[in-house]
Amino acid sequence: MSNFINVISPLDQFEVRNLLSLDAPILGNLSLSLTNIGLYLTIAGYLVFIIGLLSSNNNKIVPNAWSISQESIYATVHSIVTGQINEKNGQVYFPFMYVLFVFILVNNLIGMVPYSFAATSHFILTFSLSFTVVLGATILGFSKHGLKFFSLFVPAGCPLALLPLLVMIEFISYLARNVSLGLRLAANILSGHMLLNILSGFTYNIMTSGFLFFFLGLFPLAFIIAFSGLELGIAFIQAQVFVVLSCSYIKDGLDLH
Amino acid sequence: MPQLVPFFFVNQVVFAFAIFVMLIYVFSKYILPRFVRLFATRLFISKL
Repeated sequence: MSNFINVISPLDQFEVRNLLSLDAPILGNLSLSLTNIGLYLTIAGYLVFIIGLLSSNNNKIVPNAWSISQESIYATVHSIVTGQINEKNGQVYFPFMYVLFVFILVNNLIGMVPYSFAATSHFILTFSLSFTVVLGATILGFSKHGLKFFSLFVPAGCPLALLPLLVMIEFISYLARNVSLGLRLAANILSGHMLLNILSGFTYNIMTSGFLFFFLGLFPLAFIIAFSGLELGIAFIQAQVFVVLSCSYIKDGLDLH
Repeated sequence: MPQLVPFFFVNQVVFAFAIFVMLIYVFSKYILPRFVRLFATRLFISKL
């Protein structure tokens, strides 16, 4: 029975914990603290930086395995940016998109290490990223087109009678972009990790129940391994989807359909 | 859920944006231009 007593909530892995804090009675009682999400974000930042530095391969022309992986990420993001935004003018946004892709990817992959934590499973973080991207695209549109930016809400060739309704729908869909972009990423990572947590707790309980149950538990264990592979794929796909959609929103701001 | 406490989510967002902005700066100034130079070098060797 002891296994059932210390069952913890599957959401427990996403708790924010204070690891180190400094209460400074300056600047209006500033409290500087390092939480677990801050730690993992810092680790992710260092990883991205170190991998980027190591895989430069001392500027050799012939690539090694590390630089091939980095070059293929470069090629992927470059094709997304040039394909979605613009062949020529879109390249300005390439560094931002590259860092966005790598940052989300590394944060997703850190979550796949057992006993670690995926920072992108937090809605606050993904929402702050998505709201920033969409707000930036809107500001870009306004600065480039002025008030003509509102023609984004008018679909081409729509009848005049339907115009108020369609503008309303387009406006709502424009606002929904903010939420959907961040929600998609966090919900995918959160649900995947929760599923793995629930399944593994379940399997652990089965496998520790008896000799026969140990072998019975190998079946759900195979599922867990399969789901881990799926999560690995999701980590890549969600980073790519986030970047593709960010590019298409920037394109909307630049070209207005 | 501590992530709903303003202190924690402000902390989270500050960390995320500080690291993100630093990475954008470092990548766009030091790391990505290396790739461009590398690709340009390969192009010059093979095509020109």
